[in-house]
Amino acid sequence: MTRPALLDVKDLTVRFRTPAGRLTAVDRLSFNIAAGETLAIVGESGCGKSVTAMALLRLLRSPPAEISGSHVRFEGTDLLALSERAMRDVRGNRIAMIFQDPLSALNPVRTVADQIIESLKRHTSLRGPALHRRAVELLDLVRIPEPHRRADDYPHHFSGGMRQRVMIAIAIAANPRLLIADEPTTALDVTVQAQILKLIVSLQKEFGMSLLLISHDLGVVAETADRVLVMYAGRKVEERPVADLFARPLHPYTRALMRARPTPGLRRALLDEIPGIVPSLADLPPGCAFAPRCAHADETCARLQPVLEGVGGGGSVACLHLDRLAGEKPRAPVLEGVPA
Amino acid sequence: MSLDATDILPRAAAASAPAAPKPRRAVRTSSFGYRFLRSRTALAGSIGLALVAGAALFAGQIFPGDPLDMVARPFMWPLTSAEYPLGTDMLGRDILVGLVYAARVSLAVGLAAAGLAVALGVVFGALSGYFGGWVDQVLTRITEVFQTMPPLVFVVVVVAILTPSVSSIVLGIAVTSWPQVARLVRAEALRLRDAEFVQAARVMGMGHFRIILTHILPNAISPVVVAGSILVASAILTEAALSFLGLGDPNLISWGSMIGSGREVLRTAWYMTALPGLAISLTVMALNLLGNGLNDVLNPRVSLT
Amino acid sequence: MSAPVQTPALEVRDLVVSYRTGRGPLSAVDGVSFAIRPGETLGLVGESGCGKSSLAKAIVQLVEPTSGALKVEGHDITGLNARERRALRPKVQMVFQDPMGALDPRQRAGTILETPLKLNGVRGKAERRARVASLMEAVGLRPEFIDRLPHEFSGGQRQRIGIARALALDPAVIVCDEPVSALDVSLQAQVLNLLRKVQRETSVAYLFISHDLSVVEHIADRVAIMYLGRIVELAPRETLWRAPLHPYTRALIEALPRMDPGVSRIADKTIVGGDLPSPFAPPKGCRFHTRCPIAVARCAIDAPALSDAGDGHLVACHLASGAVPAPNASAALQPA
Repeated sequence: MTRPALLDVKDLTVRFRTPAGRLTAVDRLSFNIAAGETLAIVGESGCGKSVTAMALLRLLRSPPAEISGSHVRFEGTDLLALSERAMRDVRGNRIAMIFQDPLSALNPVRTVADQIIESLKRHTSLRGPALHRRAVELLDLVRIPEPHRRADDYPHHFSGGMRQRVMIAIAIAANPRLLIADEPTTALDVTVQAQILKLIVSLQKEFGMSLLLISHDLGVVAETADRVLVMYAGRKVEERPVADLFARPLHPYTRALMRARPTPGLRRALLDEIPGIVPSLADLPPGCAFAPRCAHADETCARLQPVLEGVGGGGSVACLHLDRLAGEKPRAPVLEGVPA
Repeated sequence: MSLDATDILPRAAAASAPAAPKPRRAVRTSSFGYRFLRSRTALAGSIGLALVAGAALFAGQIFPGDPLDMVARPFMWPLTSAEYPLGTDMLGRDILVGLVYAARVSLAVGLAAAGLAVALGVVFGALSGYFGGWVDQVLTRITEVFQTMPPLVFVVVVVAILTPSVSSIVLGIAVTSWPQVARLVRAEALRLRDAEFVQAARVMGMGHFRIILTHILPNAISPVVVAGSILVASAILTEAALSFLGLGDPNLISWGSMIGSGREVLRTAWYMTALPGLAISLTVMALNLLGNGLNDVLNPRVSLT
Repeated sequence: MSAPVQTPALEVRDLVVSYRTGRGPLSAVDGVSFAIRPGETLGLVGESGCGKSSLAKAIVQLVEPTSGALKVEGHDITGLNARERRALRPKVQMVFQDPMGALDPRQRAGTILETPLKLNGVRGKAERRARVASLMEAVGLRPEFIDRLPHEFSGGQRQRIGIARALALDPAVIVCDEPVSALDVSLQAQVLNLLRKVQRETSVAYLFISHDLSVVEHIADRVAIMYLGRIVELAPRETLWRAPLHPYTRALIEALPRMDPGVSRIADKTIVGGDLPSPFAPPKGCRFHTRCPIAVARCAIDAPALSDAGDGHLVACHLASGAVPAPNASAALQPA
């Protein structure tokens, strides 16, 4: 890592107390994000990716959540050690977040300008008429057509994509250093999804922000991220620079995930299924969590939990059979598909 | 924005339930019986209610004879005689026996009135919510007419016209309380009629009434059960108020009529009013506890700890 | 492939679905025509508000079409009385988007699968039991699951029940309305593979509706692209993917996220701008002209007709080279 990390997370663990017992939603997760960099966390529902985002901002209610870890260092400060009051100054100011469902994140009875102004008041020194001017500027920045006219509209006047633009305007109002985007385009149509992703990426460049993108969609991740972290059942199974990961996925789960997805232009009669389902977080197998569904697993995998091992290019993979997998030719769908 | 772990967790837990080695456990903890027993409110309410109902059912076995018989000297205070533990009234009738027999009338009126109200409300609510459109318009207007009438006044009028009897009281109470049930069921039916499983039933050729019976009502029943138990309580109160006003069935003894007759000697023998009053309060409380408890038991989102 | 004179499993002709709403009339489906032959999958792609859900509902008779014809195995449903319609109802079934919402939470798997049989005259209890067992086997559910409630299944298993229910009545067509959108990638693959296996075994036709072109591209034989109530392009899957003619189709393909960071990065893409215009006031002329990168003056005035560009490739664009108005539109609509 040549650039100093803006965010450095070490051994982040999130547990929940539930009637069904205590379960570990995020298990000793470590990662970092450099200034201006995009890290994507990818995985299926229940893998802990959203919980991770919420835990970073300490947005999880406790109880039932219990957050622990060595540190979550952001700009040199350990967020886990901050008081709730100090944490409030970080949220929305130095770190901003946008969510999957912009409608429920916006207040329905206040105009979008008001909601942007609220953020500006809290996080900047702007006051008076300058506030409204800046709100309109921000709407223009997120490419909302006719921002002067639209500023005094209410959220329900906007389409889903436009609402997400408003959310982004609110998020960047304070000029944050890190933007966390939790499935920001999942609820949107394909063309609008692409517009929003493009907007986020261009604003990121313009403002020099770092981006933590949470997504279930490997395609979105491939198009957006610099580095990718794959999670399964609360644990990191693979973390690689984006080009390496898609050229040569190493962990069996990453490979299975890629092969299960239809690849346009390369039709296969059947997709490669991942047998079984995600294990219950309350009742994880003692060894590798993916072992029961893994084509490469043997009885060692069922007993021993693999540790993360470094691979080239600053990547790491948690698999007991890494040597064998790294040696063989990866069966990535890009190489394998048979044109119909 | 969702800050609550419950949004994330049940999904993970539910998805994994079938794969867990002991799938039966998940089934049992979500069953009605299990949750009912874990809910202290529901349990306390039903125990209280069972005591009252037991007394009412077995009144004839426990105290053979007519509760209106004069058995001892009048104005005997409670706890002064082992034979008549709750004393006697101004005519020398045993108050304990009176309370037990009166429980029959009060509970019968309460259950019958609530039952009738629920039946009416379910029919109106289900039809109006499921079909919508003009059916809903018409039925909702009718519901509103009944809802805007002041309940007690309306019951008094009905009972006065039909002459006081248990059935006229039941009818009067039911007619004023069904709109609450109708509104509840209508809201549920409105929500359920667009559910995909209802669309699926239509696609496979199921008729509207069958859909209402097999899909809408079973899924709408939880709030109705809760409302029903509260309705029983309020019907008991209304019956007591009527009897107190002298509009009860003259041939039967009820808690309300006991209070009504005790009123005249309130200064000298307040126990004659207080004891039936206490019986009413305890029964109504038990029913409300049961109602609130059922509300938690039937709502899977509430965790019972 | 089978003989060209084969009766289509489903034929939709000039279908219009309009609603009266508080904001005025809304024409959700505005003159859509296509046909699907037995054993074929027609993919239908469009973004929200394009009318694909209304089209699906009209086909399974959940809403009444305003005009147009709807033929199931050659029988026109729209002209029939209620009783005759009921007899044709089992022929068109549906698989829903939300596997949880499509199953009554209080009914066990066995009851859910038995109900369509009961409703459609399978009298004997033993016969129904046997049929339920074979349906469960066909979709890969273990027989002991028969007494489970929907919440005791995983998302993928629930969708299997939904598919089994749709199959119960031996339909000619199954309308699959976003059947995998609510599922995780690994479960998506299971359900898509199951749909394909079922089709091989039963020759049922699918109308597969999705917003996700990559899923449709995987499962469909032909693909129709819908925009604001109209089909703008319809072509065999391979043709549509390799040589799309309509600018909207091209925009969809360009916007599709690819798993190839060496070639496809969002920052380098040209994404079609703007939002979907309000369906209450669709643009005059070509409905896509407000967002179209190549629109000319004519596009704002004349609505282009769906024309044949050769080899069953239909497109509605004035600027698509090679597209000639078909003298006999119905001939072009028949599957090759």
